Amino acid sequence: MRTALTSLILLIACAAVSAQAPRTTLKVGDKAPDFALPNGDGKLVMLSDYTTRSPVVLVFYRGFW
Amino acid sequence: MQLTRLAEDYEKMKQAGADLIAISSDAQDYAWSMAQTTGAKYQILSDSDRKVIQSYGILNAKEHDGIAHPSIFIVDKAGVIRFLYVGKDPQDRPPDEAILEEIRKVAAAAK
Repeated sequence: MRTALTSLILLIACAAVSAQAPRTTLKVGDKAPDFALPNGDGKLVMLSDYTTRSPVVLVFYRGFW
Repeated sequence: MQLTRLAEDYEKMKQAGADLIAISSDAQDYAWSMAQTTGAKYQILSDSDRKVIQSYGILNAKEHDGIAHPSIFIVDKAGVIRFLYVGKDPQDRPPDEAILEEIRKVAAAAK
């Protein structure tokens, strides 16, 4: 019984932690940090090169590891 | 897989007036193979030292030597953030239509 109760409390605690949405200090209205990163072909891509032409959607994804 | 879905969304984003750049902490050869397998016409970039992910404040240091929290930033032509969303997992993201609506707003303001 006690083990079951402990497991339940642990489960709830884990759920509470994972439900907490991560936050960045950046906010709407801030300048987006510029960068130059390589694409798959090794070519450096700069954010500012793209934003001068049109708005840009930046998507950060977890990756495949 | 988020990138497969993005390949589909990309055309809609283009129509709405924005370009798309995808970033992860994957090594460059992963970025290359992702571009091949998804047939992506947008840029897939490798931030293997996590500097950019850190500068955007979305590094999840607890997993796999540090990966990005799945996030979306819409940046306007002046380089200013107009919309942002940091997800708690890959499934946690705004509906496509909400993102497209934001793009249309930002694109209209830039004209």
